[in-house]
Amino acid sequence: MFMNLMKKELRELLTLANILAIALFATMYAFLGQAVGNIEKEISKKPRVGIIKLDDGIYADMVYRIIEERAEILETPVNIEEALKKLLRENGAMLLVIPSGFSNNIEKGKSGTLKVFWLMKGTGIMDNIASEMGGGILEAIKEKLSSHLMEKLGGDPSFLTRPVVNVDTTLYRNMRIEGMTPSAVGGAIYSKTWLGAVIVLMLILTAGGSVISSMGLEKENKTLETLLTLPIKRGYIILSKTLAATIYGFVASVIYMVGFGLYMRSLTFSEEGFGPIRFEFELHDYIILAVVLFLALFSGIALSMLLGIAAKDYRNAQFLTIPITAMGIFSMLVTMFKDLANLPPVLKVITFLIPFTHAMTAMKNLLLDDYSPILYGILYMAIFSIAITAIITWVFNTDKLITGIMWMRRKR
Amino acid sequence: MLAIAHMGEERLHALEVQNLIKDYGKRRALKGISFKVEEGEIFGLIGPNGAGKTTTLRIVSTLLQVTSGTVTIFGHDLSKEASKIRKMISYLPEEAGAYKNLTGRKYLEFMARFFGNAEQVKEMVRKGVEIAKLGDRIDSKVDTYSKGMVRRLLVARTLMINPRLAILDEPTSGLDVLNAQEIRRIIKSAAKSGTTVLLSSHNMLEVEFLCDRIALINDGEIVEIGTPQELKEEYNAENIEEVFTAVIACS
Repeated sequence: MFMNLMKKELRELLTLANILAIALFATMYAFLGQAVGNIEKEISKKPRVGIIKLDDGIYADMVYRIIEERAEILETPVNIEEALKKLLRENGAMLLVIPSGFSNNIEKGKSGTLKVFWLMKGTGIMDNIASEMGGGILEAIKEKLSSHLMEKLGGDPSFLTRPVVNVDTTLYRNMRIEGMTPSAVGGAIYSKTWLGAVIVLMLILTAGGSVISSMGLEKENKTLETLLTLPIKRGYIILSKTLAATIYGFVASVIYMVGFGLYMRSLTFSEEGFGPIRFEFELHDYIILAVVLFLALFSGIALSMLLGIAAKDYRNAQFLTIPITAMGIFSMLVTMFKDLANLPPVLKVITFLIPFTHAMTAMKNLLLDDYSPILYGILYMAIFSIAITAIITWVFNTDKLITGIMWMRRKR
Repeated sequence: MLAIAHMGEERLHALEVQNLIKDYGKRRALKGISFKVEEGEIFGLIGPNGAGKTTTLRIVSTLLQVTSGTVTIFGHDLSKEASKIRKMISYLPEEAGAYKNLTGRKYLEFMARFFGNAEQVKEMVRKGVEIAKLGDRIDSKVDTYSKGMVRRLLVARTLMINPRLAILDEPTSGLDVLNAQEIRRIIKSAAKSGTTVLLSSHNMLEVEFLCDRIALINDGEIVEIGTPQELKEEYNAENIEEVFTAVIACS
């Protein structure tokens, strides 16, 4: 009897249309990744730079050689406007004008002026990678010319440019990470884990939304009263709905992960890890991650079911997903900015009480081999799921579900 | 087990309601109603809107809990043995629907599986298809059905499992004259084959035609009970509609 109900719930959720919608969404992300391109590839490409060299002195020659080493130099006309037109046509990143008297000025101890025309391609993060690299070339020019001048004056450039050298060691959760600053460590971990948080959020929204909608549909289609008079335990009705949504969530997660994985591959750097932190999961990590994800999904779905009880119809059910969405986004943003342990007490408690938090932070904690917050999270989510399921079962076993509907009908 | 002497043979009370009270918050919807329905009988509840008919049917169908009083179905106490009772009853709400993504046949199969094994399911679905009389459309999706077709499917679903007690809230609601007649015939036939029927209706002709006995309910109280003939004689009325008007006016 339970399987009969379960099959019906799965048939409603795992429709071709639903699966195609998720697949389409994931495919769009995969294509987006392809369209945006690969950062590593972009960075390894030399930027195209145009040079108008109006000075033949030693320092102008040095500048030219430095640029030659780091960029692809485009032959350009001497006229600035024409040179810019050519660069625009040929996807150039910048035009550098070395004016006459550049070397002479430096030799006299005055600053040499380089005119730089940046060709901005857009406002997106990846639109101006080539220009950013142009900035790197300018820094190299300044550094090389300074070294040359210091050598000429009889000093040691490597000492004079860096009279103080810092050797970084970051201490974090009983770990010593050599050669990295806290911001570098945080940035690297975040780049590897934020995707997990986004997937958890999307899963909870997808699966939770499906449960709320399912309850809304039962009421809109007026099938709930009949369902409640069938010879099947009320607990089975709840379990079939929550379990079917969890299975649907897992199917969706696989599809999302493939799509997002392809998207992220184009946006992240391939690092194996640093110091004691390895960007690789072992079998037990995957098992823990699966348990955490299952419990987070189950908690979210149970909570959605509780909200779904209040749904008047399918349309109203859509509005009831808002609290779940708000909680998910709250968890994601808070844990993005700060570790749970570093939050002010009230915020820490609120964030901890949102079950999704534990799934969103699990990947980070696993990378850091910090198992205690994960275990507390698992324990909390298990208690949360049982408590919410008990409340739902109580509501289903009383006549609140029906009198609630009657009350709402009277209100309408 | 309760039994009464009736027409010379021992018959079991299919349903026995005693001093049934139901409160919705501060509002008392049922004020201590009592009635008995015998096995194989068609018993009708009639009354104005808001009188307590649907509340009574919902309590008997295990959807609502009693505030006080007792409801016994085939000897089982509703408050203690709801799960046992659900195996014996079949409820047709006034406003009911079927799963729109299923075909009529699949819907009947889905419902039948709660009441029997594979062989029994086959037989129930065959009977359901026969009652529904939807022809080829039984294999169309429910969301393509008219209101009347859905109602016929739901009546078929209610009766195909051969319930011991069928609880029908406005069974012909939304049906045209011909369809309504057909449903009445089906209900009569179900009762003949042993199903006890508890129904509510606004249609006095329907009640007179269908019911062996009638209870008139007004403002949460049963104000009159008897066979259509007895009631007509008592109130010197031509039909049940006149009885209804007289009873409501008196109460």
